[in-house]
Amino acid sequence: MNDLLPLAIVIPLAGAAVSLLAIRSRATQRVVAILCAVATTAIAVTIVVHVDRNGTATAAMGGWPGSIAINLVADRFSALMLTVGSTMLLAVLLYAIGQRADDERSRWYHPAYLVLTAGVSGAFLAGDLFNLFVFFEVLLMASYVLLTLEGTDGQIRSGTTYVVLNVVESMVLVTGVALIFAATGTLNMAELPERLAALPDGIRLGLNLLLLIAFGLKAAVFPLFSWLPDSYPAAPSPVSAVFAGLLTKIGVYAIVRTQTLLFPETNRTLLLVVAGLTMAIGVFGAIAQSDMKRILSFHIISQIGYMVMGVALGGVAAISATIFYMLHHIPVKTSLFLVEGIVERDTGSSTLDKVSGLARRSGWLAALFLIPALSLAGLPPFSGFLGKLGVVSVALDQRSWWIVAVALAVSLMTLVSMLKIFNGAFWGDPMPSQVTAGRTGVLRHHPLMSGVTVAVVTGTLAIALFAGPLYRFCERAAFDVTNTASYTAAVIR
Amino acid sequence: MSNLDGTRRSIILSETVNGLTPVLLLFSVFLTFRGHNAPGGGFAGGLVMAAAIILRYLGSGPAGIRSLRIDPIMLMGIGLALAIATGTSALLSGKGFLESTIWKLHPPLIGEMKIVSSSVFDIGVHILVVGVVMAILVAFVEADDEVARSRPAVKRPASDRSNDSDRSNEDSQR
Repeated sequence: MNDLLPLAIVIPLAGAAVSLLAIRSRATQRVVAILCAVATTAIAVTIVVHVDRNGTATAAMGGWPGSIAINLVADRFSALMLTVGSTMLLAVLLYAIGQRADDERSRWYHPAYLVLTAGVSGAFLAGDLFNLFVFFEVLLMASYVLLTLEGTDGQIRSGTTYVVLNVVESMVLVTGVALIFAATGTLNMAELPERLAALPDGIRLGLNLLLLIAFGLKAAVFPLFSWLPDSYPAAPSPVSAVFAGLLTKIGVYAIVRTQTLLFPETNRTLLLVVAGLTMAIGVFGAIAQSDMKRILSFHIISQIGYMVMGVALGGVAAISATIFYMLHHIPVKTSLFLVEGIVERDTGSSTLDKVSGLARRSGWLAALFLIPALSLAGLPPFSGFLGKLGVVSVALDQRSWWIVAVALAVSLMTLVSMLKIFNGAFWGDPMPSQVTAGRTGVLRHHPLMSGVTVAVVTGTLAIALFAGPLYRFCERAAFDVTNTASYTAAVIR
Repeated sequence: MSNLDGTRRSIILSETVNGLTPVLLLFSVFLTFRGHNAPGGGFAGGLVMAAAIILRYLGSGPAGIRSLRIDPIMLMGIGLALAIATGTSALLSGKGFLESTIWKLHPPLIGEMKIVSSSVFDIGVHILVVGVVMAILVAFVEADDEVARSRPAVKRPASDRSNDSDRSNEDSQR
């Protein structure tokens, strides 16, 4: 079983190697990429089932003892994230192949995408801070390539911002990691809690802030969010779908992991304020935009606020709500970008002024957008409602009235801006140019893209349908995460 | 104005690079093999070799890179495959992923020789790093070529033209 953990990283990397060697054959690249993505997803599912039954699994790569080895740890939280992440990567890969757009035609797409997959797996499984940093770098390198695949002026411009900010982020992170090593003499996340607790409060706070700044930039929380709405919309749709769904959530994952495991006794009032501001600023930004991709990008920021709010509230109940929120948010956000991709492919634009009346042409496409959109706004009976209910009810228990007010108001404004997209792009009369094209049944023209989107949207509905067992799983995961002693006991034997 | 396009090249630089290249290449191999027990390793070694290639580019222009006739993408693939294969073979033989196997040989005259499987991993990393740097370099060379091709077609502003006349003066002086 424990050999499976490294395989989740090794298989996509090996696939990237084959994909590079077969750089002249697009067909081979596709087959290799699909095989590797399927294998990674299968491994992730096996890991999550195994971990839920038998408890945390660990693997020490390199065969060295203790903290010298490259430690991989899969507890329920990381196994769940790994499963959701690799499933989304597989779905978006199929979508990109179905799109047959310029980005998938680029010979660098498949190698970079597989390296990204390996980086995502590694970041979720890393058992020490340094390897967390390394796998962040792996996925960042791949994301630089994916973001600027077509090499258009716009991509290069926003790619520059993205690269510069992420290099700064890496520098802050590696500084934090180095200082933690200097202060404690270890980077193993199982050994760190005890040693960090022995440090003076001031030093611990400083180290915590360094990590928070680094991961906060990755997760795009206020005030470190400005890079996101600038860079994501420039990328091709399948790429921005996976970035939007997954990459910022890896930052949130790192925040949850470090806050609960390494710095459990911290006053998080500041983090709560940051969470409230992140929600509000994100949704204000979204309301001001008139391009689908940009609106959706600002919503990523706003939604991150809810997850950070869960972390800031602290405790098993809040963390389990956060985990459920992440579980729901990743497929919902991905599917919104996938629908946007279909719209853009079909009409050639994602600007609301240029797209109209899509519901008249394809009711199903409108439904595919509306379900995740309402879920994102947190309307019952969709999965977003349960996520928000969880976070807000903890805030009510803790009598943090103002954050409840902010969360609910932002929820309402999320609905407003989602309806703005719906009214702009789907409602009303079709544009004259599209009427002359006379095409109805948008979905039928893009079978693979639509199939994948339908599958992901169905997945979000399934999350709502099986919310009971899933929420209980999240509670078990949150118990693992918040219980430092059990984590340490599982890793150090 | 690029001085890499072959029109204005420093003889001193290119001759120095010619002399330096073998030394750098040897040093990069040395670093890679040294890395098992001391600072160094495939990444550092690969970077030194890549530096040699970049120097060659600076010294003799794009032609210096093209004369190598190596596909950097293949290098990346081979290097990554080699590194992964080393790790996986350990996994297949029942050890942990990336766990190193040590062989001790006793060839005549040399004495004991220690060969470790992790140096194959290091060689893979070395090749991969060289491949990545070369791929970036080739992208720049191609962009440079494109600029060079489009140059006569583009009408330049006046300020640029004065520069140009400088160059033609220089050329005639040669």
